[in-house]
Amino acid sequence: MISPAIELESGRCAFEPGETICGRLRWPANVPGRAARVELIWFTSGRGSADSRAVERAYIHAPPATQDFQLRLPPQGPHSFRGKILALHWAIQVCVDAKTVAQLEIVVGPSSQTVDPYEAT
Amino acid sequence: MLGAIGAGGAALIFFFLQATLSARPADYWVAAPCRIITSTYAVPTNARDGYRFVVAYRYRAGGTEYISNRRTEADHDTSDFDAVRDLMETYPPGAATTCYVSPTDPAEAILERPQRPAVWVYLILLIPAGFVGVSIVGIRSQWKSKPRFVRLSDALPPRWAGWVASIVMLLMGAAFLAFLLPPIVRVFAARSWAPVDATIIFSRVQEDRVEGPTYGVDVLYGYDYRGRHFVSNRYALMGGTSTGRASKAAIVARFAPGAQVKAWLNPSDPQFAVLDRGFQWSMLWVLLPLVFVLIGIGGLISSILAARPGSGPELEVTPTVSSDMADLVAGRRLLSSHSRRAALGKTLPVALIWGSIVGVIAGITFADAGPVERGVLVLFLLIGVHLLLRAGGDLLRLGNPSITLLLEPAEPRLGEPLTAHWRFTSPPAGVRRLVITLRASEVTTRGSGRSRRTGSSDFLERVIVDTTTPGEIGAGEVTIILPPRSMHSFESAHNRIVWTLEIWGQKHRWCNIEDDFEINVRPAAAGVLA
Repeated sequence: MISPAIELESGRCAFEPGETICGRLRWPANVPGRAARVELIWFTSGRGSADSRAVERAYIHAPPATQDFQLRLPPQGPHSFRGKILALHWAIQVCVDAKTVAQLEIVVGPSSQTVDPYEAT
Repeated sequence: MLGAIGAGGAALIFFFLQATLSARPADYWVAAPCRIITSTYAVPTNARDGYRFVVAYRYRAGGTEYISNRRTEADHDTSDFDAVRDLMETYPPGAATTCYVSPTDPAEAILERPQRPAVWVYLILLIPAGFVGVSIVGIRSQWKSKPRFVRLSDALPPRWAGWVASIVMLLMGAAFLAFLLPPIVRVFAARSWAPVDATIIFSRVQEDRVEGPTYGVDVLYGYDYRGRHFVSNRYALMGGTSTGRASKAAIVARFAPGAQVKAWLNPSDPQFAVLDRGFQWSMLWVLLPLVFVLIGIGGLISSILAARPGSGPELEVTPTVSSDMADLVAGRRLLSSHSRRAALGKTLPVALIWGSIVGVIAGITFADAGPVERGVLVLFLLIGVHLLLRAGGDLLRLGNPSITLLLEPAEPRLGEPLTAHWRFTSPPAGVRRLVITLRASEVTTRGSGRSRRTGSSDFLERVIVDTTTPGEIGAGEVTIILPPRSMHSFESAHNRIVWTLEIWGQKHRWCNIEDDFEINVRPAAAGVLA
C-alpha cells in the first residue's frame, strides 16, 4: 500500500486543546490522490489494555495528489499524558479502504506539552 | 459470579422443599395393629456398610395374617449404632404397636410412615437464603455503583443490609457451633466420667465413599452398668471420617473382638460411653463458626450504633437535593460514600465460599494428612481467616457514621480553588482523628474475568486535613488549589485517571472509617498556565 505524507501547517506537531489543526496529505508524485478518511484519534499505551477513540474525521475525495484537511481538537481534552503505567497519545491517521496507511503522532496539552503528572505535582 | 451464587442458593431451596414437602405413596397406607416378633441388630458385613435394625412383626389385613420386616419405605443402614439401639428400644420384642399396610398389596407393610422434618430443620434454608440475599444486594450495588456520582439518598448504605448480613452471619455461626460445641464441652465433663469394663463385639475400619474415600474407627462394644447392659460404637467424643486408613487400622487393631477394654461412661447418661475421652485436634474447628458469631455480633452492634439519630450542624445545601443536575445548577455537589456496601458485597461472598469449601476439605482430610498437605491446608485456612476478618471489618464499617462532602465547584478545574465541606451524618463518637487526603492515580486494567489484572500508580498524594479537634472532626471545610499542570480526570474502557478525596477517621477500639469520594477534575481553563 502506498502511503501519503501528512504535513501539518508550519510543521507544528504540538497543539493546545480547542485548536484547529490544518494540514494536507501529499501522495507520492507518480500516484494519483485517492479517497481517504483523515482521523484525529487518541490512544493509550502502558500496562493496561489499549483503548482508542476517533474524535474528529475529515473525508477527502480523490483526486488531486495534494489534499487539505482541517480537524478541530476538543477543548476539554484529554491531554497528552505520560505516566508510569499509562500514557495517552494523540495522532492523525489516514485510512484508505478501512486500512490505516499513515499516522502522525502529535501532542495535545496545556502549553502544547505532554502532561507529566509526576513532575507537575 | 454473584448471579451464580444467587441461582445456586435458590436451587438449593427449591430442591430441599421439593424433597421434604412432596407427598409419597406410603402417606396413604392404612394403619393396622401389629406385634413385634423380633428386634435386634446386624453388624456390617463389609467396610462400607453400616449397622442395620432387624425387625419382624405380625399383623392382619383382610382376614389374613402377614409378617413384615420393613420399618420404612426405604430402610437404610447407619454407621451410628445409637440410632439402631433407639429403634430396638422403641420396638422391643412382644410390643404391640401400629403398622401401615398398603391398600393395594396387604403383604406390604411398614412401621413408620415417611416423616416430615421438624420445623427447626427448615432453618437450614437460611444459609442458601443468605446466598440469595447477598447475591441480590451485590447485584443491586453493582447496578447502582455504575454512576460515578450518586445522590445522597441512593448512596447511603441501607440500614437493613447491615442487619441482614449480621443476622445471617450470627445464625450460620450459631448453627455450626451447635454441632461442634457439645463434644468440646464433653471433653471437660469426661474428666469426671467413670471407667467401666467393656467387651469388644465387633471392630473394623469404616470406609465412606461419599466423601472420598475417607475412613473412620468403628468399634462396637458392650458394657454393664448398674445391672443393665449397654452397647455402643462411639469411639471418641467427636466422630466422623477422614482420609488416611493406616492410623485408623492401628487403632482398630487394639480392639479385636472379645478383647476386654476400659470405656468411659457418662454417669448421668449411661448409654453415652467412649473408648477415648481425650482432646482431638479436629475439635479446633469450633473456632471457625466462632469467628462467624463474633463478626455477626459486631455487625449487630454496628447497626445499632448506626441507627442512632444524627446531629451536628447542617450544610448550606440540605440532603434533599433531588438530582445531580440540581447540584450542578447550584454549582455544588453532594457526595456520600457508597464504597462500604460495595466493599462488603465483594468480600463477604468470597469469604463465605472460601471458608466453607476450605473448612470442609480441611475437616475431612487434616487429621490424616501428611506434613506437606497440612502445610498447604494451614496456608489455605490462614487465607480464609484473613478473608473472614476482612469481611468482618467491612461489616463493622457499615455501622460507622457516614460522612457527607459538599464540593464547590461541583467539578473543579486544575489550577482553580476547590472547597470541600464535610459533615458526619451521625455523631462521630469515638472518632479521634480525621485525615482527608487528595489522591490522584493512574489505573489500568488488562484482560477480563479471572485473568483481569489491575494496576495503579499514584502521582499525587496530599493530606489536606489532619485534625484531632473534636469540633473540626464533626464538620468543617477546606479550600485547596488543584495543581494546574497535572492531569485531569480521564476514563476509557481499560484506563483511568482517578482523583479521589479519601476520608480516614481513627476510631477508638473499632474499625477505622475509610471512605473514598471520587471527584471529576476538569482540565485547566485557558490562560491559567499563561
